[in-house]
Amino acid sequence: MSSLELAFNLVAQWDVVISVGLAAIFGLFVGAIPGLTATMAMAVLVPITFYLDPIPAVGAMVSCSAMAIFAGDIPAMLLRMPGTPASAAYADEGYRMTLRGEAERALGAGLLFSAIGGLFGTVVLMIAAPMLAEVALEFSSYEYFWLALLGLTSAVFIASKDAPKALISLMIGLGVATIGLENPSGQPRFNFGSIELLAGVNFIAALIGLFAVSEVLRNVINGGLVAPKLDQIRIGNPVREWGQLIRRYWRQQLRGSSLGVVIGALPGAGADIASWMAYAVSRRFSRDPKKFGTGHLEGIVESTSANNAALGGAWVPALVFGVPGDSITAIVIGVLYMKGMNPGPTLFLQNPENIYAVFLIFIAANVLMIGFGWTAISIAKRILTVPRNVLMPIILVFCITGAYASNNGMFDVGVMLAFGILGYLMEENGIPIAPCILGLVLGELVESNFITSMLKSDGELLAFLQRPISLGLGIVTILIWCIPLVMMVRSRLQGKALAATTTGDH
Amino acid sequence: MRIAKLMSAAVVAVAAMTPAAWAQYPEQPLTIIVPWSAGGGTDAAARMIGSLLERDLGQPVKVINRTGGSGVVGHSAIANAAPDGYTLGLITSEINMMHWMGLTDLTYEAYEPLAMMNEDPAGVHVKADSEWNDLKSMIEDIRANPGKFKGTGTGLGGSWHLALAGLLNKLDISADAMPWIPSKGAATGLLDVVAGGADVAPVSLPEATSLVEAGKLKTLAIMAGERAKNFPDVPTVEEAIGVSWNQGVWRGMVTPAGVDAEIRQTLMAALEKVYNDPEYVEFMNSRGFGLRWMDGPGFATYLAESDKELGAVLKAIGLAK
Amino acid sequence: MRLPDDVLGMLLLVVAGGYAAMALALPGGAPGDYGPEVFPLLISTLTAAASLSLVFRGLRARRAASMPAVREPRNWLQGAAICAAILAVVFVMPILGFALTICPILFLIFCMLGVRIRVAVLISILATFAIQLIFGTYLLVPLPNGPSFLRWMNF
Repeated sequence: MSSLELAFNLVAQWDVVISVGLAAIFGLFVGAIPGLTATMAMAVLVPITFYLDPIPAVGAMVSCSAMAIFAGDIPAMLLRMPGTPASAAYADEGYRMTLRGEAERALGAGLLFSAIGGLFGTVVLMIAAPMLAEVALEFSSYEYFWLALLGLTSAVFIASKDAPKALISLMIGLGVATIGLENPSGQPRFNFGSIELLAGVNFIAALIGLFAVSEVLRNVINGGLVAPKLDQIRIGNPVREWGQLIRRYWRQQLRGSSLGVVIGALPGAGADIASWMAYAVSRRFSRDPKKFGTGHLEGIVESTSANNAALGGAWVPALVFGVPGDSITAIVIGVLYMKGMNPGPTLFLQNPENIYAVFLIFIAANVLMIGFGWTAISIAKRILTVPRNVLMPIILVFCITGAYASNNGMFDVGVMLAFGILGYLMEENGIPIAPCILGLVLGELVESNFITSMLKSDGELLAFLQRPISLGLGIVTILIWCIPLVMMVRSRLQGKALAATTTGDH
Repeated sequence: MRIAKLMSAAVVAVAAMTPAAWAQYPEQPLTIIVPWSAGGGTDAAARMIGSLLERDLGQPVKVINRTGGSGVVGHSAIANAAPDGYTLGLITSEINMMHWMGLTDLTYEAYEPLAMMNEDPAGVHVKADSEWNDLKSMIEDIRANPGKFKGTGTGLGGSWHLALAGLLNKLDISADAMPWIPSKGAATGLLDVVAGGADVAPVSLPEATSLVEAGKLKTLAIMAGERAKNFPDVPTVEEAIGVSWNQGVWRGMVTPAGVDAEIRQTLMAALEKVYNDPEYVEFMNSRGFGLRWMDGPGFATYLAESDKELGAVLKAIGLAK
Repeated sequence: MRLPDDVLGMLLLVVAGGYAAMALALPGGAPGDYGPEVFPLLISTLTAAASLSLVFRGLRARRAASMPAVREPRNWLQGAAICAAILAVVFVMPILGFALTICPILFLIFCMLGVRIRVAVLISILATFAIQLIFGTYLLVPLPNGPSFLRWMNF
């Protein structure tokens, strides 16, 4: 029997089917609750995997994480409260579609392209894992520095309406990220003597505060509780519409998935960064960038493809070198070891049927996602019919419990409150929240890779351009920065020339 | 927070005086606090210990992670828990470093040690195609070219930094001869060595195993008294250069100070059973983790000695406050 | 609380200045010239630049300033009450435990937002129960137990 057949036999077992199915429901549920992340879902699964055989154990983790990342879209689009950080990039965009009554369309597209992105990630994992892993190993602090800088640049594209305010928001995020001990110098910064703040501001608590708590406050203070009911357009059978969407957005899908896999495969970056960058890329290359931010599907498609593709990408270095691609695979690696499937090149050589079985489960999970996900959407959209004065307090309790659960302490509930108020004040004054989140995500990455690179090169700035990949990334970054400037100067000059000729006519 | 704590302590005290408290310990679920994040090695070990303790004590054992601040947050949470015997903690070697670096006032004295459950010695890992084929040539190269080669694998003043800087210090090489590139964790550091960003990563053997097997790294020596069972080809530092130098990280179970002696006895006995359980041994072997056992009093003596030793190293490399 | 751009810019300028001052007060880092203050100083410089541009823009637009949206003082009070409720949870939950804290607070917020009393009682009890079940029992989150004579409430 070939190893593929063996793998089929491994997967087609009742215990595998049941554990994959239950883990899928669990993942959907956890991902859909703001404040509970895919990583947390995986951590809860670990003790359960003690009692499972290797294949069902790994299968449960695969399907749980894929579902959780998709499910993060549900509250993001229905309530503008991202369920996981990976959905934060397009929460606003999706919510605007819901306001227009297009919740089903937004969620359906999110589901479809999440599944396609996931499948794309799986295919790359199957075909190119060893090759891609070699590339990922070339990344040192210089390359990560440029990558992080590219990520920050996407803030400008995400919120280009008001440049100074977007910049301020980004700086707030970066500034908050400097709190604590986790910086290259190992010196506590801005913690005001607090042991809890030594750990830095808890990202999950801050995210819940900025998005969910601020939304609750906005509802209460700005009188949103008596908002008119949002009548939703029913799209009926989603499959009919999906064919059209695939035809229209296959380019975005492909680009988002590719970006997602590559970013996911890098051990220093994961699904959330991939999702932001994909959104920015989508806007940058879109034919109608003006529609972005008004409830436009294009960016959602690219971004949601990217975050699910990143999941497959993250398994690349995990399987090939035992190096986690993100916090989810860090947990998976532990389980692989425990189940005797030690990651590394030997995993592909000895008993390849095990690894093929994992790939099969990956495919199955992403196909399964469409059915399970649509059911979840049908149930979840009813939340829009719940009166807001009943819904908001309950969401608040979920937020409190989620913030508490993120590090099992009351302090983080306080952090959540502080960021809720901050988020409310920012939105009130026209400061967009998205760049701030990006600053929080990337702050540590930018700083530590800049400082460690400077330490390694003894202060030589040229070192940032002396390695092939870092040179490439550096050139791309600088080009992206320069092109808008050149365009601006040129249009100014043209404008002046035009003005000169018109005045000359008179 | 302090008021809340006092009040909750008062509530616990009142509850402890009710007759029910005199029933057989344990009569409620236990909690193990882990100062490191879910999915890491310490977390996995704690969950294994927890599930075996559960079987022995007949009460559910929850593992909770309190992360951040290089372990300060979690270690403080263990020390500040109510000393009722229902909160345990899995502490790690960092407890004997952070107070020297001025991060906290907390020392090992805040705990009642129950048992050391594991120790992993540091290995000296370099890129597979590095010119150094043994520890001796590496040391001589560093001595001859101070400042040229960089080490990485943890933050400044982390265990692995101390392991290497301490060795150099013992050989009378200044700490500046090998500048330290802070990294977020062992994996990040190892990858940086593979990518050519740094030269040496003195992290534990299990952390490097898969990259060594993949032919990306080689291990020059381990900082232990004897060779590791899983890696019989790697010489000890003493075998390689004739100087004895043992450093590594350990994990041990503790309760907050002030727990009733009888409860402690129960827990120590239970932990000894866990340590000798074939399932625990198999788990540790499968992860490549080193087994090392010390009972409560032995662990207490070890803690005091290691605290002094690490303090001396930190002072020598100028990181102690 | 909508501020005109120039006031907002001014305020942020002060924040950036304070942040920079704190950064400068940090003890010099161990690794050479790239200490812990480098990155924060960069952040404060950029913040200051963006704030300045806001100030100028605000001053220029002064004449055309639009009236800020008027909000009912009652709504402000309700917003403040929500914040106070979260703060109360932070301090009360470690003492009373999850259920005993959340249930009454949820009930009070419902009442404040005009949910009928009978409905409010019902939903606050059901929601507390459900969330404790989800987080405490299924997701193994160690929610505060509260006093031991109420342990029966934790299932």
